[in-house]
Amino acid sequence: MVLEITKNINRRTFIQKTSTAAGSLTLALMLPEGKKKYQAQAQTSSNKTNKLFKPNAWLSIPSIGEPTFVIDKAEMGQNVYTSLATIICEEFEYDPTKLELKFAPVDPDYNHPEYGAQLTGGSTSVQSGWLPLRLAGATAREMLKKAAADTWGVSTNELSAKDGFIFNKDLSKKASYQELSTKAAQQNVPSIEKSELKTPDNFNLIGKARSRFDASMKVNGSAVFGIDSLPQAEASAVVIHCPTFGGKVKQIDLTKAKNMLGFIDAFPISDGVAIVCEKYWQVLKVKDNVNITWDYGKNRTLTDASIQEILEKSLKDKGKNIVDDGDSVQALAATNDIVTADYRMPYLAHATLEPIACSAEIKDGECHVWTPTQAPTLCHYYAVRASDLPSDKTFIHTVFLGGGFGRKSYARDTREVVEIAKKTGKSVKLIWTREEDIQHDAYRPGSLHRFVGSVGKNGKIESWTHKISGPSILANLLPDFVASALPNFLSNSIKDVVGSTGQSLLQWYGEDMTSLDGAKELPYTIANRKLDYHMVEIPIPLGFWRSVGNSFNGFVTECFVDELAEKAQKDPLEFRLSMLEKNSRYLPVLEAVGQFSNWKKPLEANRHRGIALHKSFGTYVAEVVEIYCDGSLDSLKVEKVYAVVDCGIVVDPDTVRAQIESGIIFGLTAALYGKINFVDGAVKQSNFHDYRLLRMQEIPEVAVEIIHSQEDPTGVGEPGLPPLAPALANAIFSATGKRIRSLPIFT
Amino acid sequence: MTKFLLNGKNVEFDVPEDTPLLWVIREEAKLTGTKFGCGKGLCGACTVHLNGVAIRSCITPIAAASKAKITTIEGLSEPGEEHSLQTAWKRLNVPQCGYCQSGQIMSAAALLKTNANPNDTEILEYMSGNICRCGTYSRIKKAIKEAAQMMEKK
Repeated sequence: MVLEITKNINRRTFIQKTSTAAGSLTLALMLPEGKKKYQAQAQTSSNKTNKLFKPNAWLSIPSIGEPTFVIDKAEMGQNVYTSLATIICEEFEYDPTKLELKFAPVDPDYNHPEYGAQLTGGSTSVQSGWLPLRLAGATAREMLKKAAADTWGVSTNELSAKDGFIFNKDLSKKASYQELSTKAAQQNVPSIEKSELKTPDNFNLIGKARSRFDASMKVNGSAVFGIDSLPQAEASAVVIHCPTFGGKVKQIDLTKAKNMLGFIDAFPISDGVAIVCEKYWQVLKVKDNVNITWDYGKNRTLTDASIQEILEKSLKDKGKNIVDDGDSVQALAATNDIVTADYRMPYLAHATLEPIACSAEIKDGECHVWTPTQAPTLCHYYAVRASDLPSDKTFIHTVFLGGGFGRKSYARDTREVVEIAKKTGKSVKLIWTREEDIQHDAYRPGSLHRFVGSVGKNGKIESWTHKISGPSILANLLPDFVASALPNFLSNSIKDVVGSTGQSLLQWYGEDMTSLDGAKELPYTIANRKLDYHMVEIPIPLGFWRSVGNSFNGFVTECFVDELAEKAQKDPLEFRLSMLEKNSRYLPVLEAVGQFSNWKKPLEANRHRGIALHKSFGTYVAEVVEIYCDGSLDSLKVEKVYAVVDCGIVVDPDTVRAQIESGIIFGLTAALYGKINFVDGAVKQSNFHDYRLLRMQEIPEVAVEIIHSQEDPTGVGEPGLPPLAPALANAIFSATGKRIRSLPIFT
Repeated sequence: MTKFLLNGKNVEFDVPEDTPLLWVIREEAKLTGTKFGCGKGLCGACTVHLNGVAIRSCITPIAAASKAKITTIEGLSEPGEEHSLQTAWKRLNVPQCGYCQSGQIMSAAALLKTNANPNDTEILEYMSGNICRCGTYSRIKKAIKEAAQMMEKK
């Protein structure tokens, strides 16, 4: 019997029952509540992931059937489905293609070791699962070995595990994991040390390219996304949000709508007006006949120009000093030959191809939500508050994400769908229109960057000052993220106070690492360097957008490095190489991209190239972009991108390639077209005609090279993105002699 | 009452004539492989075949399907079998999030029906109505060529 988290039975009780009844080994129950976490923890280590190690949450082995692996990360295309299953099976000694895969319920056992909540983001899934999952696999394997040893009356040292079987010394006896599961469940959980795990030269599974485990269901239409969840829902809904941020509904006129086919109800909820019908095709008609009068609130005057004004003004304030190496002020004063540049970065929407969609049912004192989320803990928090049901009666069921890119770590739609289910008393599916999705996103913030730099006699960067002005992504998200991570016994009002206090503290402190990522650490040794952050408040909701701060800081820093290379009259690649430390992991990556792209070989007429180097989320990426451009931007064609990546040990090389390719196309889309404009407090863009996404005929050829490494793995979902835009802008400079200092390139 | 052939089966639906075919397929016929992306025929996630031709079902009224033959991703191949495109898609690890892929495959299948061996330009032109936010385009292009070769050999 395979473990199934059903909605009617409390998870722990159910597991208990399952294990007793079916005699299966369920690691979750090996130890009494409270004690198990301590016993199951790995040996003390400075490694952060180590201390939260809970092997018991991931694997269960039934007496009949395939083991279940619970995936505690969102599958949004980055292929954790395959990668994490491969990692755990390396030590578990099982064919990962045979595992039953299930998405995790909300449970602190699945909390991200660094975020303290269940959250998929920061390109951390493989990195954070790397040690705990291998230890979990090894623990399970050793318990099965012990069970076989007891059965056969031999020592575990004589036994080996392979492909789901335990073998004796001369391979004359074997027993399947399933056969041994009952006995294994009676063993003590052993303490496995990191040093007992396989070294890379002994990996059988890790390092091989394999077919995605979710490929079949994604090519035959059977994968269940948010929009496909709860097919039996009694109602369908859309939420219309006030066009201006922070506006409120004043009046809803249902004169026309109430007699329309399928109409159920329309009413204000926390974030807008819910329109509910029996079917979604009815919703689409009815919504245009619901007349909503809004109180647009105080943000109606917000425009692109007013935002720019706020950003410009803040640069006159002191700001918060983040980096102050050497004496950049004096170094700049000592020369007349300085380079200055302002860079402006736009607001961006995520535009996942699946618009916001989720479903909910409140029945028999329980609330169930099916949602394609990166943030189950946050969803749970919203669902508990909106349903007013106890925490342990509220369940979040994660489904496949039709794209994430950070958008789905912002989970207000869960609150919406639960509010609608509660008010109507019906099970309901919520689907936002594309227009709502683009106009009510949690945006990548716009920012303004002011640089002053100089080049020394040695031809290297002598001084560098960078001032960033922009709203804080983290401050925007903090209240709800903090509140959702607090213990359940605290009241909602206390959670609110703690959440907003967290936000105020961050604003007072003036530093937000998510907005500074990619600017704080630079690849290069620069004697005199200063970084100041000018945090501003702009009433536009913000969220994590693929590569977060790196998405803008990577662009501005690598473009300005190019400006200084020009000042130094040096080749952009040579200039960068000359400033890298000998032992740095940046160096081989940059050297490799130079060779890979034949950087030194002259290009044909009207063909140009640009280069950029950036580390994000622990992964080093260098890219060279080749373009066709006859000097006019109208002729621009991005022809080829060479990427070299060092992400440590590679779990699946094809996944690494696929993610780097994906990040490059995502970055190129933003560089060429990405911009959200604000007019009268509202977003101007509404659908793919004015928020353009790259199409097949516009894509360059992408070639990816992976550096061989024995370092622990780091993520690849985001790091391919940051170097793309600067490498492209630097190539355009080579073609036109003009610097691209604001994005997008085409407006 | 609108009648048509859906994946080889006779079906009839009592919905207003202007109801988008996409929602009839998803909500009335309960086939959810066809996706909603934009509602304006801009992204191709809702692509199905109407008498063998790729159409955007989100902007096609059900009236247009009357007496026609509609094929969705669920009906692209016989039960238990796989279209060469699906085989190639899997082999080349095309899908990432996967949300657009039903539409991509349905567009590609319609292309291969009229052009058994498309060149790069023909592929790009035909597939330009299908957006993939994960950027799997180069693999899609390769998979179409590989499927075309597989189909030739069959």
